Amino acid sequence: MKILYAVHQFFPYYYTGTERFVLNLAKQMQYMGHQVQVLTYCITDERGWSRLNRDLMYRRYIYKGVRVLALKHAVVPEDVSFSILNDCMVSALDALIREDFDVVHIAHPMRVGSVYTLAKKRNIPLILTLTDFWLLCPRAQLIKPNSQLCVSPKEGEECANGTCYDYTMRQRIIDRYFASKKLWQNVTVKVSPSRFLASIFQVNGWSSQGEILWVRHGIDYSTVTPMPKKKKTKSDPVIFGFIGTLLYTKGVHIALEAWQKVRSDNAYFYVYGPCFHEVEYFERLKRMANGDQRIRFLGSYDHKELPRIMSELDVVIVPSIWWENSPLTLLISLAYGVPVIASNIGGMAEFVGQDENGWVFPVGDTSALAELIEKLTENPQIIADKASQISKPPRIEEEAFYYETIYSKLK
Amino acid sequence: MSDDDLIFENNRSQSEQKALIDWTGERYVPWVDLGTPEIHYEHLHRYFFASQFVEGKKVLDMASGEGYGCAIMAEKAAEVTGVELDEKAVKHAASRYPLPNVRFIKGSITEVPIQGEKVFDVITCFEAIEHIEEHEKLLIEVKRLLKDDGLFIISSPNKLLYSDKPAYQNPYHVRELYFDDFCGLLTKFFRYVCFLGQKVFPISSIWPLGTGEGFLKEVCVRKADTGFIQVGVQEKIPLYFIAIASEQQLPEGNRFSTLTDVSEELVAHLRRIVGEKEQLLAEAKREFSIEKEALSAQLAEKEKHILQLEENLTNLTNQLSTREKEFLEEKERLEARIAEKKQRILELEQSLADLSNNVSTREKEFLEEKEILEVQLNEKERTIAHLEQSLNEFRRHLTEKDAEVSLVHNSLGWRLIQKYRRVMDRLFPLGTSRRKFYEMAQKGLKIALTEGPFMLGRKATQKAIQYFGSYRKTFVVSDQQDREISQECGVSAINSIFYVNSFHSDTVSSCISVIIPVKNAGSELESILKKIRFQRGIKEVEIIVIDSGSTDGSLDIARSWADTILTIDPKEFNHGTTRNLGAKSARGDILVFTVQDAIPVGDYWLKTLVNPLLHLPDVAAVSCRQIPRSDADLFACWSINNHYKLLRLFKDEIFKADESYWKTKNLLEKRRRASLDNVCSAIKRIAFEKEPFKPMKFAEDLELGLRLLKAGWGIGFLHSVGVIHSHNRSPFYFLKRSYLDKKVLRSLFEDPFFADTIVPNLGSLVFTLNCFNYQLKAWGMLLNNLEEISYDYAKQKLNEALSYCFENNNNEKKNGGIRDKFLFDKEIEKLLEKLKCVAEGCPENCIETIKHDILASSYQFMDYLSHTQILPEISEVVSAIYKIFAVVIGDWLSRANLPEEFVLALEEGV
Repeated sequence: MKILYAVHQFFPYYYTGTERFVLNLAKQMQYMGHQVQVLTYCITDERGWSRLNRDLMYRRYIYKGVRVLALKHAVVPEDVSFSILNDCMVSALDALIREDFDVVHIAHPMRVGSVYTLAKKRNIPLILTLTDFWLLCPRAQLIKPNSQLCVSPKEGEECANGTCYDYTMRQRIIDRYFASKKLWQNVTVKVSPSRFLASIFQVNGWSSQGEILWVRHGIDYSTVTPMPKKKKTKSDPVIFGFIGTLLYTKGVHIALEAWQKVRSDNAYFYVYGPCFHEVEYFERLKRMANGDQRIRFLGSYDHKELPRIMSELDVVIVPSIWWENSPLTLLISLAYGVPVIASNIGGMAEFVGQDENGWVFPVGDTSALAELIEKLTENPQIIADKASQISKPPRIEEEAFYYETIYSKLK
Repeated sequence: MSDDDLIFENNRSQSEQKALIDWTGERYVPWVDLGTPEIHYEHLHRYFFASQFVEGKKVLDMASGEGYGCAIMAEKAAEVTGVELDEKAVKHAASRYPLPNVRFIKGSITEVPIQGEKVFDVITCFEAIEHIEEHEKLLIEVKRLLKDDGLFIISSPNKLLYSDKPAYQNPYHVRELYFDDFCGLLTKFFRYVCFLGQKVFPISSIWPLGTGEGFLKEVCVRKADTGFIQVGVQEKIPLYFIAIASEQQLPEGNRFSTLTDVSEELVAHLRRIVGEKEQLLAEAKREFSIEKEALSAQLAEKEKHILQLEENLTNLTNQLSTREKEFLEEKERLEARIAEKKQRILELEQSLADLSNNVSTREKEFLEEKEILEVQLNEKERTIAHLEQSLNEFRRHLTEKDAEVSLVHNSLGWRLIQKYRRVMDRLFPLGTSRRKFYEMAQKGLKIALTEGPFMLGRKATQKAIQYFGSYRKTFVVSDQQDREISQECGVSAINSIFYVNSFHSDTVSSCISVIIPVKNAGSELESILKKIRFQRGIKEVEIIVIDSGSTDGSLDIARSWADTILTIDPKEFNHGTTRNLGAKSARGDILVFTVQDAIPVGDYWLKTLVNPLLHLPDVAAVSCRQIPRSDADLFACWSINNHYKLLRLFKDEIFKADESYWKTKNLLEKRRRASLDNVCSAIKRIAFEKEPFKPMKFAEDLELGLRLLKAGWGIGFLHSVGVIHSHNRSPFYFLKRSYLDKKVLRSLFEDPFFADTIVPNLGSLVFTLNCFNYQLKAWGMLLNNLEEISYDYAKQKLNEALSYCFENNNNEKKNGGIRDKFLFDKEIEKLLEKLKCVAEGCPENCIETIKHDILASSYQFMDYLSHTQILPEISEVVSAIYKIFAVVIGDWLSRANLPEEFVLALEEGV
């Protein structure tokens, strides 16, 4: 089978969860004897671009044995990450994509959404894996700047009421909403890695019950190499950790605020991750932790360090204040057998489950979180018991196997 | 027949004459161009010769033919009569030569239709006598018609020269005469006969100039448009002059002289020249025709081109006119639009003026409104001041209350209550069930105190119902969820014909036993056992582990997850017996055999695996598909894919063996249908009890597959069910595996090509192996540019690289110096070296065939790369080729009757 993956950005310049999902899936498909190619968009100023026409440039390269076709505008338009379709890209794709693919699989439609017109024109089945709410929400996360969670954009009206966008944007957002819905209707099979994410699209009337297939994200267990854990005595401190980018929506401030309420001296909080552009937020976090010896900011980390990091952490905290869909940190922690404390909303709650893989606390409730931390610190045996009964996330090979089955049904 | 019928006299002019007869090859016709004038000379000369005897006489020409002879003689004779047998010729002659003193009669020369006797002065008969049989009758007829003093002039071909010498037979001639016969015939009828000869010779002629006639009667002719005509002697122009001069009267005598070349060399010479010229001409003609052809082809092409150009021109002209039209239309349209725009600008200017008027009006309104608002603002400010005042009052009040509270806190009673709470927290810690009971008791006490003990009892019962009720509910919900997941995750869509309908049915109620042989399984064992233990949709899963001497703690892990653990001595291990042992202690109706490093795909793996066995009564066993691990190397991926490709296992299938199966010589087809795979297989207990595994070190699954087929069972392959299973192992491992694999397969399928062959000396391959290292690395560099080069080109280059290694293996000493320090697998090299000592020789073409096998597999490998478009690391490709090499060597060794120690070494650790 010949499969084209479309994703809004890709390695080597971008390496978040979605890119990793595409790379892992593409490689596993190759292993299973299929031909793959990745179509992506790249905003970097790297060399090696070829000019396709007045508006567009392209570059072909290979990443880890996978062929990649990257596109880029000569002058990047301001709405490149906002619009669903890009007119000049439609014809460009037709010219650049010569292979006769059996399936087009969109992993994220941002910047590359135009691929759906190509699929339609060539009568190729289209499959879409949901990774966030971008199709519904131009800000992708369904959270308003005032931290209020959103459930429905109400066909765009909710977006342009002054909270997220100014009223002048109203028509553009409504147009975008319907363009997006049109793309959605042209997708043959929709897949969601979490039931929660699927339910949001259901609530908005975009799909009926059971229309969206549920295929959980798989973990590449060949990179998960747990180191043996040190046997703890009662006097050893309990180590909590946060792993991920230090962004407001990730709720690091919630964790720190809770920590201010924790009285125990026998618990530590290790914060791993870079702050990217949210420098101000980082400064705020540092002020919050000021003088607290139990809190350590350990900066960004390499993926290769994960076995060591996971071996020293007893519990990972995921205090996000937005829904989260299929948070990679949470899944990786479970793959390493580390239980998780997470906010009780969205994908986080779904993967932690009813007391299955860890504990949940009401989103933003610092007191409840603090109480939980205290409880676990006082009784570390609860953590060990929980760790032993974690049900690990599926493997990438399993995820690929399901997708292969879906593709072969479409072909 | 009257005379009138026979006589053709015609008065039409000669110019109107038309030939009524054609040249047949025999009868002479004077107007025909025969290429050579010889025949003209002969015929004309005879009549001109005869003319000297006919002046004023009455002449009969026998066999007058075309009539020209009569015409010649009529110049001098008083009257000429031609007699001719052919009516057409007579008509022709009469119309062609309408002379007043000539007549032509139809008739035979032996019976001339003229009455009377002694009629003619002269009778001629040229080249006619050989056409008739009755010569004497002719002579008698001549005698009848000739006057007593008349002359008879006759000619006849000399048979000796005409027919005998050239061995020529003229089909028209009836009876030819030798000279003796001719002489005899004439002397018999006439007293005086003078014989003359005639032949055309090339001659040199000497004749007297300007002195009129001499002794010789000379006839001169010239070729004119109408044929040969007689001309005067004066037309004869000498090329040389000769003179005879003297003071005396010149002697009388013959001034004529001819030199005759009897060998006719001049003619021969001319013929030669003509021959050469003709040859040249023919050649020239041929060249000309070729040239002509080429030119005409060119011409045709040019013409075509011209036509095309003309067409293009027409098209362009058409386009031009269309464009012009369009241009004009566009121009018109644009002009119209310009006018429109101008109008619009005017309108806009107008509305701008209106707007500015409007703005000034609005400004006025705004100012008015502002004034009103300012008034309102002042009002509000006053209200705020008022509110602030009230707030301050509240604060004061609050401070007073705070003071009261701190008084209470400091009191003894409060401190006692706090103490009590701390004690309670310690006795009943938060979050524990003790605390829950404490809180419940507290609540109960409160209820008992406020609402009475009866109320307490009722509420407690309600709580209990709620608690257990909700427990049951949770259980039911999770069961429902179970099914929802199966639908949502696409499992229901995934599955094939066998269980699409059955999928939604209830949980499998029978017990399924999973049997796993284990030895040092490593850290993954726990997650695999756990995954099997928590399979969904199966009521009871029984796990049986058979350990053969693990030392890495596998046994401890197994203890926490397996139902039964059996241990055996590692020495006793073989694939068949060990599994039979596990099966013996199994309780399940279906036995699932898998291996310690095969990871089930999904939570419904077991259910979908056993489903066909539950629903298809004639199927005894199924096995499922293996997929490579995410850390599989390229060789592992290829070999799994290639295995299924070769066996054409691309979908869920049930195989049965009919008669043709046992007869077929197609080993792949045989293997395909019997392909039971113990990496993951499920077998019905009832079938297995009759047909257990045989104690085999290898391929016990395939052997069982064949036996089940023989017993009439069906065997299934499930492409839609998977286990993750692949190995990244050393080339030596693959050599050993290939050795065993091929050996067992050959014996299982009774390969007709399999025969114990001599132990081959593969020692020379050691060098090939070393050479590989360098050559393959160089070839691998090429793959870096696979984007630009084609896979076919890469294949060709690989062929060259391998050929180089093999061709040079015989020159080991010569090339010994370039050995690479890096040896790809020392074990293989050691084995090949050792083999040298026990080798019995090198079978013919052995090395050549090995090279061929390596190339064939490498090409399949390259096809996989090409098909998947993988652009791998060079080292991975090179390593894969090494492993292919190892597999081929293993295959070769499996054909030989190896000594025991080799067999043991090769079978160890596979």
